[in-house]
Amino acid sequence: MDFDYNDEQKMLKQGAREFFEKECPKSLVKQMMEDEKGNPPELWKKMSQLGWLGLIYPEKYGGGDGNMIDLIALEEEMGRACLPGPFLSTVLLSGLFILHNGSEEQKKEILPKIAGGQLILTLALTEQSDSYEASAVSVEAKAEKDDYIIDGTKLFVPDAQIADYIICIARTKKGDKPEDGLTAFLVDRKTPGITITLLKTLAGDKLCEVVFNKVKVSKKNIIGKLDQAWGPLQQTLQQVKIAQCAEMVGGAQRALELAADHAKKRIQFDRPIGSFPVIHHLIANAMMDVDACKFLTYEAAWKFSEGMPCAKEIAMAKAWTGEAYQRTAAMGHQVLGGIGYTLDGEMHLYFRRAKSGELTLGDGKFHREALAKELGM
Amino acid sequence: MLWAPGLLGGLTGGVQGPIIMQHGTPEQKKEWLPKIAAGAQFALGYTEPNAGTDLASLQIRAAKDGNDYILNGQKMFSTGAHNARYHWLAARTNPEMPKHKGVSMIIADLTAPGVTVTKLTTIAGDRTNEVFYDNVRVPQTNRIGPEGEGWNITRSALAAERGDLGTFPWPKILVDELIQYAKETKRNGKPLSEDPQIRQTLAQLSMDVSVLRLFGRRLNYMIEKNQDISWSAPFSKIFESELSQRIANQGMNIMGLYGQLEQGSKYAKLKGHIELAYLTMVVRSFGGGSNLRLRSDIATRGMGLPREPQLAMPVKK
Repeated sequence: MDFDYNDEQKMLKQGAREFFEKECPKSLVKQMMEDEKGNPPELWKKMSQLGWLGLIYPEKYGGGDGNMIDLIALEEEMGRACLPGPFLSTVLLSGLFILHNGSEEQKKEILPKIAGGQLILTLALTEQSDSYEASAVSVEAKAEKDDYIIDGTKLFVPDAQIADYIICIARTKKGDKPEDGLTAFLVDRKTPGITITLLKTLAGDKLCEVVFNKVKVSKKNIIGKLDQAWGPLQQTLQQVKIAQCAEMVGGAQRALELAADHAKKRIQFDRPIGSFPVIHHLIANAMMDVDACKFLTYEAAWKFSEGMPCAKEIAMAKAWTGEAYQRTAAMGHQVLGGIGYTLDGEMHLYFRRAKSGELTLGDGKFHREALAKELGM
Repeated sequence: MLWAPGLLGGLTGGVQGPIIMQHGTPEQKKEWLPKIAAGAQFALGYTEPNAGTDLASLQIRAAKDGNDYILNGQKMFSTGAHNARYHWLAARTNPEMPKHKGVSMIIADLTAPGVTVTKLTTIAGDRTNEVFYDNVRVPQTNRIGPEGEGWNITRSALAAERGDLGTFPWPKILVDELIQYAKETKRNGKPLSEDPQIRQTLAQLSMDVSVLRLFGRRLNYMIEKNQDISWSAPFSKIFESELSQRIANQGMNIMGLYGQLEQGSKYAKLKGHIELAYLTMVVRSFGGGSNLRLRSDIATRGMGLPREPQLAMPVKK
């Protein structure tokens, strides 16, 4: 494993930084937090033109044949930019699930359109039970001739308000184990019976309640195998977590830089506050914390891209990165003081996203428990 | 430097050889390298009663007299000095120069007349020493490097030592032992490893061990690529020392009342490792450089923060 990106990845990363600085200023980020759609169409289109929406997909589905290391290089810059929009829900959660589990027809139909920026998708997993366990899925889908009828409510579904399709994880059979009998359905958002309500969130990202009231879906719209969605879904979530960690790495790195920059410039007691050892300590701790995030994430990404087992590494990366990003942004607020507490500042963007990133797809406790299992406990 | 043998192992001649190779004269190389190769033991003589983290304010005096230096003063926490033949000394050769510039690196013979080695016992039961010099004569040919260059030589020796700390094996060994212990030990009829809090604790410590491993590997990676490691080298040292202390402290809680039993005691578990670590690991967050000071080094060198200004009116000693 290398502790640095290769030259091409460095170019991708640098190009992305320049692009986002120009096309995704913090004023746009803040505007999108208030905006109901939350996805500036011009920005999405340009990212598509740059090949970033399909970066991780194979060429035959309109993609760029990139690997996980390419993806995390880009994700770091998205995190730094606080990029709004449905990259995680559309390109990663939905696109990767379809790539790994869909029929050839489904892949050819959908993936090039995601890469081309023409389709927005999301994945509806969590419910009011607030858990990523299989036992938490209660939304049911009952067979009726050539169709299934989906009934129930999904909660905390990202970007459903703008999605063209929703991949709904529903219970099709009551098996012996909660993991058995779950199926993934590709549902057109405009199907009668779907009601979407946008929730108001800490980070201004778009989480929704999606009510399925006797929603009819054709059997042809099942992705993967009937009753057997859980295992494949977990595999996709594992991959998405690596990317999500990289996004948090980029955010945490930027929060650290903002704190250090402020400490160098802010004069109190006739000296820059950054010359006080107490500030040195805060910054030094955050440097080590952020580096730990980076290397745990890089190791998980590297093992994943080499096809090596990486459940431990992913659990570590997600547990550490979520909490460390939050610690770093909170430290940033302490250093910035009052000026960081105003909406004009940027630190609060990282502070908000740190917490939502920590909670999304399983928090530190969840992943330490997963790690404990991996350690044979 | 304060070094506890036992669990930690002592520093042997690890730092002297490379420094003599780099800074020694041909005659010195011929004299000392074979001795080191044959296993000559050195004790480190940096710290003094009033020169700890502020090492450059060391006071032990090496005054010129003909072809010799006459040494007068005291060294502290000189582990192994009661067994070692030689003392790797940072001594003041010029008291008129600024404090960083008047220091030279000298090898003294610990068996010479005028040297007294007295015992200090650490909380972990290990021996370290005070070493007193009373008009001790040392040939000037025992000075390594130019006069006044001792500070720079000491710093490079300390950097080598800190890099060494990154390869410290005990955090991983102790965490693996604790995981095994939790699986095999029942409390109230249930294995400890089924206790949700213990699972969380051991998972976290195991993550910490991975971070330590990655910090060490990154440091090697940077050295291979000839990158500046002055700010990243202390990462391993700080992280390892504090992790070792967390492991010992939290390991005690996992083991409960058994945690306090010493090696050799009836009923002692894990060979008393955790009890020994609880005491021994205390040294690691200040031995080899205080973590409090190293954090300032990291922030100033790695992130460009300004240094703390020097006092306009130094406090009188």
